Amino acid sequence: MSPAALARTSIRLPGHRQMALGTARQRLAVGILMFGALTLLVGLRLAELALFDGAPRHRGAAVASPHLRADIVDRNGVVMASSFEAYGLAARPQDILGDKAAVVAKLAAILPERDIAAIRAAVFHDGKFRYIARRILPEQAEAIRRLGEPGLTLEREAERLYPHVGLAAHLVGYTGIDGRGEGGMERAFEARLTDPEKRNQPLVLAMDARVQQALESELNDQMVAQKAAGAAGVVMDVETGEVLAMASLPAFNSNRPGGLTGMPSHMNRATLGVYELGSTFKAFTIAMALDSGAVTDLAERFPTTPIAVGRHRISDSHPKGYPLSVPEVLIHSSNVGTARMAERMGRDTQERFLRQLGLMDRAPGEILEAGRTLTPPPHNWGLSSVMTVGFGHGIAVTPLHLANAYAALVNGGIYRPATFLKIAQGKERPGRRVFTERTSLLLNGMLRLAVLDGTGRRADAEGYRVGGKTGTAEKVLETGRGYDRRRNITTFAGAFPMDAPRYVVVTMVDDPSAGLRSAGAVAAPVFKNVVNRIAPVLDVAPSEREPDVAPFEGLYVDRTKKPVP
Amino acid sequence: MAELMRARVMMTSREGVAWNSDSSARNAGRRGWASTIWLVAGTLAVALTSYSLSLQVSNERRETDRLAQRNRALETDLKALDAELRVRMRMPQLQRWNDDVLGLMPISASQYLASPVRLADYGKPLPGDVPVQLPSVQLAVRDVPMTAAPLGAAPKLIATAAPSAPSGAIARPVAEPIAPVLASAEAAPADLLQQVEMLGRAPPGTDN
Repeated sequence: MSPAALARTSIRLPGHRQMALGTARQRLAVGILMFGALTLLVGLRLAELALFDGAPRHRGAAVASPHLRADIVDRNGVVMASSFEAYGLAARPQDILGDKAAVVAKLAAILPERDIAAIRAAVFHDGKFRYIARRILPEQAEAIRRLGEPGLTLEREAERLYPHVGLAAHLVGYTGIDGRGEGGMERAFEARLTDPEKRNQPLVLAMDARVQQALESELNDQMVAQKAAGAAGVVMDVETGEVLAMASLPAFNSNRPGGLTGMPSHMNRATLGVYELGSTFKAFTIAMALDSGAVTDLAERFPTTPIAVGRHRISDSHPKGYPLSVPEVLIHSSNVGTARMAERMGRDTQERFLRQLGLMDRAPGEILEAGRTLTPPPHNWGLSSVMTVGFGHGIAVTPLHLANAYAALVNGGIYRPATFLKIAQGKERPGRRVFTERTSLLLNGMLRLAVLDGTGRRADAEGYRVGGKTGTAEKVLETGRGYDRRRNITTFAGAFPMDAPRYVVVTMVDDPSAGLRSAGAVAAPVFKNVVNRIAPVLDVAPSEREPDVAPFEGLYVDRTKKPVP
Repeated sequence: MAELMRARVMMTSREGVAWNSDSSARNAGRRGWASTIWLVAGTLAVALTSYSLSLQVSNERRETDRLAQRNRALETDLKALDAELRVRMRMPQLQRWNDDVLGLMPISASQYLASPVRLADYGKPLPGDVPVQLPSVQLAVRDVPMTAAPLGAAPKLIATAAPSAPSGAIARPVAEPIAPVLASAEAAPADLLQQVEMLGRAPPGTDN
């Protein structure tokens, strides 16, 4: 190599190589940085997954099935309504590729309980889409999916199951074909039951399934025996206002409600049906008169001679023929006596008390099928109305209204609106005072005497110190004018144990037509049987401790005492 | 000549410098490559380890998902079985069985004893004037001969026990029947007879 070439090489090479090396290093560094960053990113993500991500989030059943509703359980956790995944099968006849008759045969084999004619009609019809069956089981759905027929569509939907079938049908309610609540608590708590946040928490009712069963079966037995048009009943905790049972008969199968909501079986007679509940109101009138000072002396005697007010004539069904003391007015269920007390206290006092007892408002509680009471119109609430309302005529309320008002009457005078939801311990509502404690105590004694010695003798469940009042009211004629003397609404409203009342029970039988039609013979025995069955369940022990009837000593003829020989 | 020699020496020395610088650059380049290879190898190793770790994580996750799915399926099965059981033991059904076959009746007031002492002392006459409390234990269960009374034709009970979970009241010191006692017509509960009688006759009083 010539020196010149050497010099040229030695001059050119180092710079060029260094430059190339520099560039290469730069690129490499960038590449390495990128690799490094990527690796770091992966490492960080791994660390995050391993350390901070916790359990893998999986889709819960609720997300899988958007139609599922929360369960409904009774106060002890017994499931009253529960949701399951099911499928709806539909046909798109134009898209069916194979032989339609073969498809029908295959479907009939998979769905043996379905009518083959209905399947054929759906597969062969001319439209674009038609349901073949709703609420089919997942196994059947899988078998249908395996048929691979593109003209058959499976839609996921929810099946609502009521394990106790018709028990508390009106209280729990039911869901329609689209899965929406259409009655009772299902309808009232639609938003709560379908809220994804609360879907795993059941809705806890105040109801006790055992009490509900006792009430329903006893009412049903009597309804059948008496060939009655219907029956209703309520069991309520007097201290908390919780409704432990509410029955309306005839009932329906909640799993297959069917028909239209206007059917008689779908009518909730306990919260929607309003009835003139007759003499059961006399206890309120006496309490109002005592509380307002219209009657101050229990020994005061009220004549029982009939009174003529306007076009009406008020008389006793079983006149005693002598003036009755205050307790005797209740024991013998004197219309005239209570009418005179009502007359003395006047419309304002009567209206005020009725309002405080919730008898002027819609039925209490969360259920939306709440009946509006029928009271005398304000412009026509004269003396005649005051007197008739005094003994429970001319005012129509629901059995739930009556139970709620009785609870306020016997619990020391405090009104707490009825609730169908369980109240947690320590969350009791304060309520509002309607009657004084003394009045409540006196009425407890009188109601006990009405059972021991009066019209409610057949309600006396041995050992459980029952107190209450019968009520027999004639039904209003279909025309709406006047009363039908042959058709009665029989009611018994009472509480037990009367020395310290804990539960109010109202039983009502609508239009009994076999045998005697008075409340004492129809509704009172149901009350007794219900109390006999529910008292052990509700932890009420029998005792001989009677409520204090000393204030009434000498004011009534004690027929329970054996004559001294 | 000396000039030329000097020039040659200078040239040589310059050449030497050039040669020296070329070899050091080559060395540096080799070092660079080595470190690059190390870096790439290291990165690859880390990436591969991370990837395998990630694979492992995803496998674990898939496994957990599968388990969760299985859990869900089991839950659904459990719920379905539970529902079936509940439907089979539904209250109206239990009531029907009781009405037709079992004939259990709610405990009557006379079957309660005042205290555990009374239970321990059951049947013994008490000293003094204290009346002996004798609960009528044989009334708790009715035993109907199946041949005599077919299921459908079993006599109707006045009151039947609410099929219920044990409650506080039932756990009280109550004289439970030791064995079902055959109840003949004579031994029928007084209460039952009384009520049957009452059903057949007019009520003692009517009300309004």
